[in-house]
Amino acid sequence: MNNQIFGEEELKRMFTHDARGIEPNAAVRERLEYAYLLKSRNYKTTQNSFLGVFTWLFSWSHLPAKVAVVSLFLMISVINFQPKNQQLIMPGSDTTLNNVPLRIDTSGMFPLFADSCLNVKS
Amino acid sequence: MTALINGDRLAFSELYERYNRRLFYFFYRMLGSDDDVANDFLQDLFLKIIQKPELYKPGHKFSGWIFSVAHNMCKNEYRRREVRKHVQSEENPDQYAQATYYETADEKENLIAEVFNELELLDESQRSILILKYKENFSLKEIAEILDLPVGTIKSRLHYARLELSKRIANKESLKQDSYE
Repeated sequence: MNNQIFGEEELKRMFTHDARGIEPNAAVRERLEYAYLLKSRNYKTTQNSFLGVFTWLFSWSHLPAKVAVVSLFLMISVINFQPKNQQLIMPGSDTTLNNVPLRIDTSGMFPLFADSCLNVKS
Repeated sequence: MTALINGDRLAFSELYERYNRRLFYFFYRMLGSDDDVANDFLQDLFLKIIQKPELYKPGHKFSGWIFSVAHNMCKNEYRRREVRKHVQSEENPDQYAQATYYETADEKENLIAEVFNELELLDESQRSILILKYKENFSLKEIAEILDLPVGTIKSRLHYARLELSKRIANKESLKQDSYE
């Protein structure tokens, strides 16, 4: 070893080499896992909830992104609009059946002896 | 950490798996290469995380935070040892000599053993900087955050630590050569 200062790479190599075989006792892990188990009994169990998602959804945060997504959705919906055949039938009156609208059926409207067949004086 | 707070055992296992060797090595080299002491400190550190996970502030890098906790534990231990030293007012002068000499067959291995023996004799702050930089590959900025010191100080201490270590090894080598002659 000369009077030169140790190089960075040399020191890194030495530390890596030195760390080999220096390992903690396995019992430490067991003790810690047991301690964690005891501690975790006191932790609250949190249920899965959609609250967070809905809070984000209806908040003002990331508004441009939300608007962009909704616009895209609407645009795709409009482009993909394909009406079915039934939707082409236009509502209208069938004139073959209804030639004279609002026609008064006078056959049944002969009150007060209007029916001349029954009102035969002769 | 969030999963750990919610009681996820797997999250704890993963956290331990990720950091146990790194932190053990840190404690081992910072606290006199004592297996038992390093095991105790590792256990204490993880117990702190289990008992008070809220100590970790989510905005920070976890690895930096956990090493800063480890470093503070070492500092407290040094203080405790200092107090004890004063109280007992007697120390075995061969303590370091006994601990430092470690002979291996391979010359390279021997050099590494010597380097790490000398590392233990360095100043605590120099030692921690060397470990964090060359073993943990933290950047100077991260080390500065862990040790709560300015980056400039870290830079200069790192330089002097390397210089000091190199000098000590060079002196040892020259002493050896003198004894052979």
